[in-house]
Amino acid sequence: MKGLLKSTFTKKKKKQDNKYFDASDRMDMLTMTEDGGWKDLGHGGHNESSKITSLEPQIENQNEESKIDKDEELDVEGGSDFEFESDVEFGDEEIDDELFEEEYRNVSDNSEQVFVQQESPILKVDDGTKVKTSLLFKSHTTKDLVKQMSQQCRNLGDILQLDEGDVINLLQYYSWNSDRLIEAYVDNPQAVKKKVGLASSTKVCQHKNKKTYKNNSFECFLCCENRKYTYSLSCKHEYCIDCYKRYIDDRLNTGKVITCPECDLSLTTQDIDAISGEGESIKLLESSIKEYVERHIMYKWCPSPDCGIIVEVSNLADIPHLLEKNEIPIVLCDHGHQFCASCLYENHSPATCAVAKKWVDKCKDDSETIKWILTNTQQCPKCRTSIEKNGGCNHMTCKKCRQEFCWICLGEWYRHGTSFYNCSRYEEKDKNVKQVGKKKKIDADETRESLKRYLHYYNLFSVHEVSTKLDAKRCAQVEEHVRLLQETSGISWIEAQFLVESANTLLNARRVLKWSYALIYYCNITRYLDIYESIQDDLATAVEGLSKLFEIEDPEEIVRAKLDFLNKSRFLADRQNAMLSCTKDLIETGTLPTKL
Amino acid sequence: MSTLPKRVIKVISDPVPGITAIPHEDNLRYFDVTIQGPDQSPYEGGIFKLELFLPDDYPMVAPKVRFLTKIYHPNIDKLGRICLDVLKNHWSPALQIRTILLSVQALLAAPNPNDPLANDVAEEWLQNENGAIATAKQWTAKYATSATSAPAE
Repeated sequence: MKGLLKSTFTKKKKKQDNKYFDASDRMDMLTMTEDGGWKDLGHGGHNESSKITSLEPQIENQNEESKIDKDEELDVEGGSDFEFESDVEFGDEEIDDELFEEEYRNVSDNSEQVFVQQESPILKVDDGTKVKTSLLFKSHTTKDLVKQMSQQCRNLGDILQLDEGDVINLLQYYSWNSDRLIEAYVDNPQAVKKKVGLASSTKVCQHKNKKTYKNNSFECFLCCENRKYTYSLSCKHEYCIDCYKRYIDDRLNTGKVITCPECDLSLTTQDIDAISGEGESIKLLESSIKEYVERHIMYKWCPSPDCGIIVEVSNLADIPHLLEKNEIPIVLCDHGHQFCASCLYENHSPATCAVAKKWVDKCKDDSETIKWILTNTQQCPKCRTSIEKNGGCNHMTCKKCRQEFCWICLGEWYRHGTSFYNCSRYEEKDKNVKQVGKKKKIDADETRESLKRYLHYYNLFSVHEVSTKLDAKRCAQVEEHVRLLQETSGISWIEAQFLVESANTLLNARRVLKWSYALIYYCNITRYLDIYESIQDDLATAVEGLSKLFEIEDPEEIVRAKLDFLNKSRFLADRQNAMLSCTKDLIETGTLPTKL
Repeated sequence: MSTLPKRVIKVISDPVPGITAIPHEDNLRYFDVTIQGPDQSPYEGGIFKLELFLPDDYPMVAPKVRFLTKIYHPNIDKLGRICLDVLKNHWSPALQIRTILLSVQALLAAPNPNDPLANDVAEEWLQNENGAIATAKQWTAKYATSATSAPAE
């Protein structure tokens, strides 16, 4: 099993090696980076980053030369590549394990030595084009979408020979499902119009909507006041213009058709503009965006808080294929947020979509409750009910089974004799426990154990989630630091970019680390898990290492620490990639089975 | 604000048979309401007390109506809250207080256990309608007859 895994690595690497040679003509550029001045390359920011990114393979190439020997050794050991799986012996496998582990460790351990001279391939993940995904996608703002919607309304209006405003109402009624609308409308236009509350077109022109009364002689039904200006639809239900305006304002953001307060006749965009002022009706479209996006599955809201970007995925049909291959359909919005187009969480690699979904559901369900129960309650030693002590002495009586026990040692109370608050009955407790029905205890212990396991990973997950938020805050200040650096140290913008890039690396790596804990919770406990965990530990260490650097606030200090920043983020990026590819391989080969 | 007295006058001056709505003297937005149980319903003979409050945004938002008398009804819960479309998403400013109260009376005449608020009542109503109606009658006699009318829990 392991051998197979191993040999695929070898192959992959050799393939990469070939690819890397293409990049060798850039070697000269690489040397330029050594003296720390990227501007020497003479490119703008973005070109720059892609150039540097493309240099990365070379670095790995160098790192890996030593390892290739090792791989070959392994091949000899295990026989030819693919027969391996069937006739592995246990001993072989263990050696493979070690090598396997070494492999992933080496990726970065070597690079740690080398990367001191080489600089920053970290944009790999941050540059939109480099996100590893086979999806085709495009970002839209809500404004773009409103334009698109109104274009659709115009097109549909041409087909159905209706006003744009009428079409908006029709589409709103049909939840922006234009197929259903066309079907229904072609079938029976009058019935559809009636249902949606559109006036038959002839009447509209004859009816005068806006009226002015002399001496405020109109008594508005809504506010019971005498008013001058009124508005009414062709149904002749007349209200003062102020009440109408308030009525519309209340309903503009619901995304639904607005009707006359009294009957089902609907207000068109022209009516709304006439009552509330020009341009108000655009809000009608804006409020429909949510429905529009929900209706059209190729549009996905970026799940990042307050982002508001809508990503259009053009090859939706590929997502199931990706999922089958345990790949995550990642897309990237224009604000730089990566998210999964299938489950609409943030990029949750290395956890697969199934794992991510289960995990999020689980966390939603009970994490907080369980946490509270575990921290605030103890179980009754007899019936295992969770008991919260909210005051009083330590002589507890279980409400359920009437067991009297000591809160401190959980032993039976009568054994305490006179030594009430001086609990020294540790051994007694053990004896008591034995008397309790054994099976019950084992069951309860198992649940407790599994809770503990869950909580362990949940805590790790949430700690990193919180840290991500804090880091994000800190990294948001990076821009400011960059500006300061430019002013105080006279460093060019491009030279100060290392800070931004390190920040992005840090955030990404933390995210990967976070989700790896979710993944590992659903993994069976095997030998490979140990390896996996050690890789995870390495990543965690690297993350903390870089995170610590961001505590530096003095600009000059930051400049001095530049090399450190670059080293650590390079190291971190490598660790992260090692983690990701390791997970991928383990899942693909089924060596890290998940229990779902 | 200034519109309120006129509206209140309207409510008082246009009474509906079987329904009374009297505003509090110190707060004209707050009404004491009584509704007679409709004939040929389990609530027949009962007089139900309700409270009605007109929020600041009235008439753009619906008035708040709540039963004060205990009642056994699938669309009215223990606290007297009412599940009625015109009080929620089908509210329109053109609806009046009297139409709302009429709707509530109609709800008493036609309970809708398929869209319940009080789940236990609705279940009983669906599984054992006669029993449920008997309970409703009992409750009406116990809580909603003029001699004994007591506020809900």
